[in-house]
Amino acid sequence: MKLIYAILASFLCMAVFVGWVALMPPEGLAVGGPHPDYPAMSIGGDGAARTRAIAAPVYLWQASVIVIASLFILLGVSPQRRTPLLFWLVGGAGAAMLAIWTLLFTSYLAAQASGETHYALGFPIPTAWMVYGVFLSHFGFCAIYVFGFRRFVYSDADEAAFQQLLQDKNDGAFTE
Amino acid sequence: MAEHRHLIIVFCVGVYMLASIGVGLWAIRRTHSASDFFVAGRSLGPLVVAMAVFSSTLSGFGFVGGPGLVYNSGLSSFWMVCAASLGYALAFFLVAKRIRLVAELRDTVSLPDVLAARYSSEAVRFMTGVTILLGVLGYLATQILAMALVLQSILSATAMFADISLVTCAVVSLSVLVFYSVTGGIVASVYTDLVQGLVMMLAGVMVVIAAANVFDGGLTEASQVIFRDDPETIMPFGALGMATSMAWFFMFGFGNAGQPHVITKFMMNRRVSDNRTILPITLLGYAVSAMLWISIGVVIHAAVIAGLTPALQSADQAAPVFLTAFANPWLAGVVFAGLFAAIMSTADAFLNIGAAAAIHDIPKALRGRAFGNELHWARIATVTIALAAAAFALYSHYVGGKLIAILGAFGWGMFAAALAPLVVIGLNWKRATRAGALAAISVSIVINIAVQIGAFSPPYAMAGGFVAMLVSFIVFIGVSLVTAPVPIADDLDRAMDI
Repeated sequence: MKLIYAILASFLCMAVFVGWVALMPPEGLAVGGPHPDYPAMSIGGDGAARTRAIAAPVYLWQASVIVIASLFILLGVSPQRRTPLLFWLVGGAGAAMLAIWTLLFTSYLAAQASGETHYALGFPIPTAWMVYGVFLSHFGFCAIYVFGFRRFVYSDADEAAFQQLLQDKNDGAFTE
Repeated sequence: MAEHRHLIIVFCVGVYMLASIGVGLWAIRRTHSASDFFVAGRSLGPLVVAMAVFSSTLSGFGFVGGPGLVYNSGLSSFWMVCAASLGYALAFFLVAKRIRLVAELRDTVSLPDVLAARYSSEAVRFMTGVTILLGVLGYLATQILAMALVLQSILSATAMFADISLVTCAVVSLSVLVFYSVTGGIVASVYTDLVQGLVMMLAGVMVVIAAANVFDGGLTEASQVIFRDDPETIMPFGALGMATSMAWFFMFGFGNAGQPHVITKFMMNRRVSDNRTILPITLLGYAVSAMLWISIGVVIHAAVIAGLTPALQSADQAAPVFLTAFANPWLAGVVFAGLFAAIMSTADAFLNIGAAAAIHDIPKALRGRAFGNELHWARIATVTIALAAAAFALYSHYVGGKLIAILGAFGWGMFAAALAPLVVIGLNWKRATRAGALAAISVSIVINIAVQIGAFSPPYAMAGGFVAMLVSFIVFIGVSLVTAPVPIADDLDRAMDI
């Protein structure tokens, strides 16, 4: 299957999940409400009530975003350099993102159910997954770029090919 | 020292502004042509490009609006920050190399230049140029207003300037911005970005240290205070909930690669291979600077609940109140200078791409060639755009009205929705067509304006830019697949194989 069809299919899936959320009637303080004591401050209120209806589609929505991001990374690599190793690396990085998203999500739902949470690195566990986990989970893609630069992004052969292209252009081989 | 707090802050901001003017004077000698003015002659080293990329991304919104959003609605807005590392990864994989290759191959100076070459279409150049120009006016207006308001708040706290007007502050701050942007073009812009980036990183580190010491138990105690008041606020989706947060994540993660003021920086580096160094420096700079966003927001939110400081009347007071109540005067001075740095580093980038759209792209699309003596006209355009944006800013502040709101729709979300598909996919997929490109831009404009004027309101407070961007990606691919393929110029075809 061509990569672009997979990307389009993923976008359509994402649109379906977003549409699913949009069709759910908002419950509780779905997008927050004013704080009773402090102006310019909002509260979320009963978290379990407001997330019950949309939890599943939002989880799937973000999962589709992770799939799209992984496919985009593959799209950014020239077809001849999309080796099995690259697929494994990008797949692994995407799987790590998905795992962290799942841990964040399940710990959030668990905290809502119990009304309690532990703290790590300054934040409740689900929030710590977001602040540190989500941000750092994208470093997998960055690492592939930095350490695989010559293999996947721009090799010495690519540099030579580009210099040849510039030479051909200067020699009048192309008309714009 | 506390009694001299305001003078220390004025001193730090003054030193920063003088440094910016100094860079502008230095850059005059390095700006001889339109290519120098718009893309620095493609001669910049990795550190300069990296700092320019991250400081252009993190505007005054991050330094004032960010903490304000956390104060107002907890952790919801932090999804914008978390998305940055994905946004940079996508931008480097999909755009950095391609745009640099096309820039050298076709001697391009702007994003519309690149897209016109890619789609062999003057219509695409025109639509992109107009979108950028309108976006620049809208976005720049908000940045200029922010600069003026912050300067007024700083100066009015001193006895000498207690009654200073907003207009005077706009004139002063705009003069500095315009001076170095006009004299040195993008050369001055990126070298001031270097200074600005370093100031922002220093501010980020110092604020985190100060914030961690407000409560005896550090950030954990601040989080516990908020949790006891309203657990959802300190949970990962904040007070605004899941859907709003995830919409922001998508828009800021995937939209970053469509921001013309950010990705044109990729055209300026000396070598393509420098990108492998630029990415980690960019990430580090952003991560360190963005710590200010969450640490001030969380701590001031908790401090108000714990009774350590009075409740704020406006969420945008979060950063200034934190600096007044909990920061050493010198730290406050550095952070206020960092705030100006954040605003100016974005504003100068917008001025530059706006000038390119006005005197290079739109004329080229309409009459087949740009103005003669582009450098001269670029400087005139820079001043004109700055004055127009300042007029819009002051008009919106004093009078209000729909016009500025509509222009505001052409800001970040508009760039993300209209340009990201054309750049991100179009530079990597040969089958993308000009019909797809024009359809994506058109649908983005329509949705953004519809949301802005209230004709359509996305459910669950999802950002209009998010809806526009999702639709735009689908339309771009779909229309490209169903329309006849357009042959790509041979040189670009070969470049896209690399």
